Amino acid sequence: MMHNRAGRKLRRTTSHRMAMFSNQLDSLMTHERIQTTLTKAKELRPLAEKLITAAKNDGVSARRKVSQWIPDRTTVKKVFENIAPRFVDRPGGYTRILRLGARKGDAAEAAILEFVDYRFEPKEKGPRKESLSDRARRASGGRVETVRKDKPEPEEGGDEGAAERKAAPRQPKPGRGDKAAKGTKTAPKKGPSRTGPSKRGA
Amino acid sequence: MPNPKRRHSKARRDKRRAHDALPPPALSDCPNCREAKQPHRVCPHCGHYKGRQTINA
Ligand SMILES: [Zn+2]
Repeated sequence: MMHNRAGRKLRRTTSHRMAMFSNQLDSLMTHERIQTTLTKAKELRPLAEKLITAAKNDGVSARRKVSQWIPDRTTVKKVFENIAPRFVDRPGGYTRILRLGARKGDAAEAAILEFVDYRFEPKEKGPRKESLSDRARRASGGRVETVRKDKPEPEEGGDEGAAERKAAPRQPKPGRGDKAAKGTKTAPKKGPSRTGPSKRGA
Repeated sequence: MPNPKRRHSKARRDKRRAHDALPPPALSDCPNCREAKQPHRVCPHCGHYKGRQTINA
């Protein structure tokens, strides 16, 4: 039997749990649909429904009641002026839960909590947006390198520089005393650089 | 505290686990795309559920 399963603690302290619900309610009211785990959705649903029912009768009391759960004033406004009026004729049951199956990572049953009048619009498949790593690849001419400000750019053809690089192939942040030595041996920021930063935007 | 007297062989351990396997998930056909999907869940292949598209798949 599925009796007496409500009021799950979700492995959180009371304040943690209430803070989470508060955030989730804000997100749900703002975006009209949220993805979470099935258990959280099931806990959240009655809270959300009660807020909407309360918001059907606008007034100071109702506003305060909703504000207890929803921290954001503009969201509270939206609940009263947009969401609740949509459901005046519906006696409860403003939301639905869609099961999505086990998610990757922790195999928790994922779920979507959405308003019953939510209209899903499928995303059109456009050209892929350039990601940050794409940009880095393009800027460096095919190679991806981490951009480091403190890394001295290798000198051209200098034996000293090569020797130093060999001695310390990957240098952490230059420590005290390092600076003086480096200044004399390698000329930083001169000559055509082979690494990223200066070629950026070319 | 009592301790095991003898080491258990791999065969013994594996025989114990012979009944531990999890059953495969129940699957049904998606009415939209005919792929196998779990019942009562949004189809992961086409995003349809109860006759309408609900997610981008
Ligand atoms: Zn399908």
